[in-house]
Amino acid sequence: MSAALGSGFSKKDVNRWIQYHGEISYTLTTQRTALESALIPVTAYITIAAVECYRRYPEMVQQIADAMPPEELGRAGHEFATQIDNVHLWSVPNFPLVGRVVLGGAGVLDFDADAARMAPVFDFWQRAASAYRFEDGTHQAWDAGGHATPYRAHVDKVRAGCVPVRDDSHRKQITRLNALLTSYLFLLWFDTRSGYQDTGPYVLDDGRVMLLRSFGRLGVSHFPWSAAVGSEMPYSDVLGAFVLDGVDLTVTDFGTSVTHPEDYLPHVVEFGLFDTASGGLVPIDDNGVDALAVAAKTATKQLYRNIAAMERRDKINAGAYVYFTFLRPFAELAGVELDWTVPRASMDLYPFLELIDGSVPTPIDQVPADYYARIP
Amino acid sequence: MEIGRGTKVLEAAPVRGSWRRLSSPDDVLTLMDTTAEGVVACVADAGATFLAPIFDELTAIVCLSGTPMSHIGIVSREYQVPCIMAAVLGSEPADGDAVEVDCSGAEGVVRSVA
Repeated sequence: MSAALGSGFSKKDVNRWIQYHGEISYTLTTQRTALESALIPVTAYITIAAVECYRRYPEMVQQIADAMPPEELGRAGHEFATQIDNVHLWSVPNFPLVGRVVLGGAGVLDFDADAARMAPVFDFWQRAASAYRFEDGTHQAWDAGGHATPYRAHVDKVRAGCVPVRDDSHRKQITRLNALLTSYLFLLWFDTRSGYQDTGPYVLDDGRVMLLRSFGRLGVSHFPWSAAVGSEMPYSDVLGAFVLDGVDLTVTDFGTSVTHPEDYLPHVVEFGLFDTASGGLVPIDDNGVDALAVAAKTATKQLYRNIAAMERRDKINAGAYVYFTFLRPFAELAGVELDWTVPRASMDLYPFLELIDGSVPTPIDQVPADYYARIP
Repeated sequence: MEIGRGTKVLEAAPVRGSWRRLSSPDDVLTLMDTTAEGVVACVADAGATFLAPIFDELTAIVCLSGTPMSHIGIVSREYQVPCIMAAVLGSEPADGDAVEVDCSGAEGVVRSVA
């Protein structure tokens, strides 16, 4: 068993990380602003999940760290299909921090116990995030000006598996597959962008840059709703490699690429698609690309119909499960069995939180600069 | 005649289609079971999932909230479907009215087509 996480943290240390994350997440949130969907009550489920994360993550990260050091978990993100990535790391401290905001707003945040709850979370996160970022002194893409290159050791092999974009037909095939997978994963992950993750820029010898896009858990997974639509997916985890010419590329800690020009797809000069489910790189040919596109379109239609038929509360609970299980990849890598049931620790607030309608977004100028309140 | 404008997600030539305000999943399912080709979809919220099964068929999207980094903006970028975010409409067309969505300038512009 490892030492207690956060045991060396003072209140000042905790407040330093609260401020750090507050500044970054404030900016990320104002860039994104609205997040509601007419299909899924996103804001309601986020608030419920966040309360669960604040109340349960401190003990859960300790159990995970007891089985595997956070540094080892962070380094595991240098391999494909682990889901140790930008957004899953970002979520470890930020979901509990959002939970603090919810609890503070409800007047039930216990500041006396707050530092002791957040310290283990920050300790786990900063050790895993540092290792994920090769111990280069940064913790997130934000610190590095939008750079996150966890797969840097694999770049040559990925490039070798890419082929030049042949013609307009080939470009359309790539564009369509990419869009269908992106859209399907947004749906499968209940309007979160965590099913697919961008990393880069990987600067190549010829001065071009490569964007690597991981599409994860396309098939049947621990999401109960995936069973009805995922069994026909020919691949569960794939990696798309886009070699870009004349594009300035950065990525956010949400795992989203930002490009200049915004429409980067006409600038893709080489492309590769790989099956990464085994952790290796198995090239997928044109027939596989077409089969995957057809399967994604079919699965999207069926899943949409299934979600549309769900009751509002079932949608909230499903979305809360997606958010709450952002920690699950760490636990699975560590071989730790944990209770992922939600809602469980938010039942006192659930009757109020489930009523939240986020369809009217908070104007940017009303989001406080002190996004996460520091401990008094 | 211009009827609204907002933030464009990406540069795109003007496109024309039939205005359709989509408010509920049933609206989307109706189009999914027929066709969404030629439709300029107007939506209130910026989540990505609402239009998921018809995204690839739409002519353009006009979203009344959000930014290009909102989920619907991200997905429209990948589909290369012209999309305007946080659109402010002077007057909203009726369903079926012909409109033009022009993302070729500094902002995205919605025009009625006589």
